[in-house]
Formats: sequence, C-alpha cells, structure tokens
Amino acid sequence: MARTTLDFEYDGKDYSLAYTVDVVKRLDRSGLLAQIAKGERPLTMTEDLFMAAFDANHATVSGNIRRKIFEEFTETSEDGSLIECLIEMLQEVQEAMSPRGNVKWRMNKG
Amino acid sequence: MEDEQGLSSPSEIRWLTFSELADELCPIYMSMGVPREEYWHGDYTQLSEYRKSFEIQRDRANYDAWLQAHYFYDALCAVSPVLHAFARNGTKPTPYLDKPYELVTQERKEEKPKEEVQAKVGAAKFLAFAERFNQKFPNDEHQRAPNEIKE
Repeated sequence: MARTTLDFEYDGKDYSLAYTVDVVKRLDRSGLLAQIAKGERPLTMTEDLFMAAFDANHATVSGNIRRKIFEEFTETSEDGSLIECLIEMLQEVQEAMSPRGNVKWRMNKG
Repeated sequence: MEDEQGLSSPSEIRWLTFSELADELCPIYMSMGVPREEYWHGDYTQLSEYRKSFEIQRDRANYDAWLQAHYFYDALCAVSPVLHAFARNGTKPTPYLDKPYELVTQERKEEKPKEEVQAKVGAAKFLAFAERFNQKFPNDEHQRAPNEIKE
C-alpha cells in the first residue's frame, strides 16, 4: 500500500506532498492536532497543514513559494476538498503507526 | 501515573498524544528492523510491512525451536535403551534418523488425498440419500435411478 500524496505541477515543477511521522509529530506539538480533534477549525489550519506537507519530499522549498502555491490552491478549491484531503493524509499516518491492539492513545487536547 | 488497581482495571488504559505515541513506538519499530531515519522521515506505509515481516520471523523462530526440540526428543528416544539402569549387557541404542524430516512436501502429500476422499464420501452419501428418498415413492413415474440424478 502506497501512502496518499497530493500531487500537482506548479511553475513547471512536479510536487508530491505527503506527511511523515516526524511532520505529524511537529503538528501535534504545535497543538494543531488537538484543535482538529476538538472539532475546531482555526483559520490557518489548512495553510499550516498544506505548508507542513512540503517537508516530506520538498523540504528545501521556501515558505514564500509554499504560500504562493497555497494561495493558488485556495482560489481553485474553495469547496473544502483540499482540507479533506490533508486531513485524510494525516489520519493515514496515525492509523499506520499503531500496531495491532496494545497502546491506547488519543490526540492532545491542550 | 501507575495504576494501583491492577492490570484489569479500566484506568490502566493510557491516553497518549501522537507525539508520545510516536516516541514510544520508535524503539519498538527499531527492534523490528526499521532504521530510525526511515521511521521518522520515511514512508510510514512500510511500517505495517515491517510488522508482518517481524511476525513471520517470530513464527519461523518458534517453529525452528520446536523442530530442534523434536530432534532432541528423537535422539533421546534412540539412546534411551542404553540409558536404562538395568539394561542387559550388549544393549545398543536404536539408530537415529537417517535423514531430516520432510517438512512441506509431507504435509502436502497428506492433505491432497484427504480432500479427494472427502469429496468421494460426500458424493456417496448423496447418492444413498437419493436412493432412500426414491424408495418412498415406488410407483412414482418420476422416480429415477441414482445415476440419473447425478447427471
């Protein structure tokens, strides 16, 4: 099973956005996962998730370029499909992590 | 915090954040052969493959240990006549196995005929049932011989 990625081409370059365990851990530390778990939808949530997804395969892409790409994405996908895709990718990491039935865990709520 | 009520109590469930879970699982996956770099920065879908691979390795090691014990048992049985305290003079150990056990091939040889026999028994039972059923209606013009039913 291959991991879910968000693939696109921008300015003549191919991008494949994905998450790693390390990236998701950093998102958790920032408190974003806790907010998502509580059902909150902070304004910058989609942007933060999108920008973090570069770290797996395109860590050298600067923040400015990431932001520019994100702005173009939000213009073309206002129906929420981008955030759905990103959250699905996040959940996939969390599901892939836990071995069968021993450690109980939940997202951090504060 | 450690639970004082014992392992079966519901409070024994530990709630972890994702960060804590990731930190806790890292050495576990490393023990399964996942490189640290790959665990944190690699493709997480490979983790399940490492887990399956680890289970297979454990099963194989378990089988090998069992097999070795079986050989030891056979060896002990072979020399047991000599080990007897009141063994007669000239008693010799029985010869050990000439060659190792056949593993997979032997199992397959045993399985196949069993399936064939079961199929034949099933067919014979059905024919017997059909024959008995038809005997209840001796004058029935639709009565058929078992061979006809089979077709």
